Amino acid sequence: MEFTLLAAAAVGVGGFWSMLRWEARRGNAAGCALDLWDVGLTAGAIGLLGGRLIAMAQVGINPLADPAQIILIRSGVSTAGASITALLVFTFLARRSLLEASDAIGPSVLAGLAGWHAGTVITGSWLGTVSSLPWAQTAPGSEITRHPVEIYTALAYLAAAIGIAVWKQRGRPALGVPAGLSLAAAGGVRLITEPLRISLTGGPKWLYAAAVIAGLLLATWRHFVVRTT
Amino acid sequence: MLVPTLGGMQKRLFILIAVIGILAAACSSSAEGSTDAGAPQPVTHAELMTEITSVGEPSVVNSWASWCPPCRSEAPLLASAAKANEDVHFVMLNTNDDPANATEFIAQTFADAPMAQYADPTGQVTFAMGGGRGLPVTMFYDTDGTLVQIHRGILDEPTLAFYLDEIKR
Repeated sequence: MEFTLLAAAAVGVGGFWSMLRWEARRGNAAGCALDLWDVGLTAGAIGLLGGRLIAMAQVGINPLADPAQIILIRSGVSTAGASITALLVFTFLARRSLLEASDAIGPSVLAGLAGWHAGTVITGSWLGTVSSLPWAQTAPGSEITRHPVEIYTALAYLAAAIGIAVWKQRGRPALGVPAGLSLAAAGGVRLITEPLRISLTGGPKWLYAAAVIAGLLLATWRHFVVRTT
Repeated sequence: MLVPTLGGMQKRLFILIAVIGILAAACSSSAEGSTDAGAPQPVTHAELMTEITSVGEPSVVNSWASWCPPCRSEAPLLASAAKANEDVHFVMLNTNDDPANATEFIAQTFADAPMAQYADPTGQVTFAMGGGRGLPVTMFYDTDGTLVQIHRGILDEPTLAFYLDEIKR
């Protein structure tokens, strides 16, 4: 079963890589000397580890007493812990040109998220609340039709990634605006789709809301204040 | 200065008493460690199926063992799900395990969760219910006791939430 999770992760990494390549051919990251592939993967991998350790701590499993459980990713990763750890690692690695790197990597991260959510079709956890819409889907062995919520999420992330990437090339936005919009889209898509998702915990809506607010504040500040001064 | 010393006989007597005392303590703690008080009681396949079909609510049966790392890892998720879904009957079927280890793990992880705890010392009940040789395996039954899904391997939160939603409808 862990192989399906690896396959879903591979789809996510593939989405990230594809958008990086697509943007690189159009002069992305001209002001950024970092290897965004390396930085992105490092931040993602350490973020995953951080999220797993935090999830273990939340349920009372001591990673030092039972280190083998760290690799059992499927039994729980804290979304908030992983996201915040990945952001901190990225901020540290890209500290010399943070806004340039953030602008350059933003759409690729959204494409990676699109891939990950599309990949949940492989893990079997892609259906949400009950629906009678024509495109509603059923789980194997079930007659209950449901929203393919992770497909909605993947399509929304992909649209945001392509939209921001194209606008970045044609609109020549101020430094930091694409990063702000990417952050807002990352949180906003989850916030909007969350009511269609089945969850025991309800998901970290505070994290998604914080990402939307922080992203919009960054984009607004860079667009209206910095550009005009 | 005169220092009192133990004579040879006294020294041997002291050592003998000490050894007896240590052995007695060891046997005592050993007896306490292997006690089956509070250990999950064995159940047959027929008894378990009768319980599932007559309980009047959907059921989740999880076959687990304390020596199985994925079982230990998913256990807190199952415990929290049982607390949050009191309209679902959770059955933990301890399989091929040492009763003392199982009892200790149950006390640590499932103490305040509303779950039925049973033992399947030979693994035959799990096998008869459709589980294979590997652990963990989780079976989801609707209110009528009809098997809806068998999930082999570790459960994640979205999968558990999804199948709980399926068996409640």
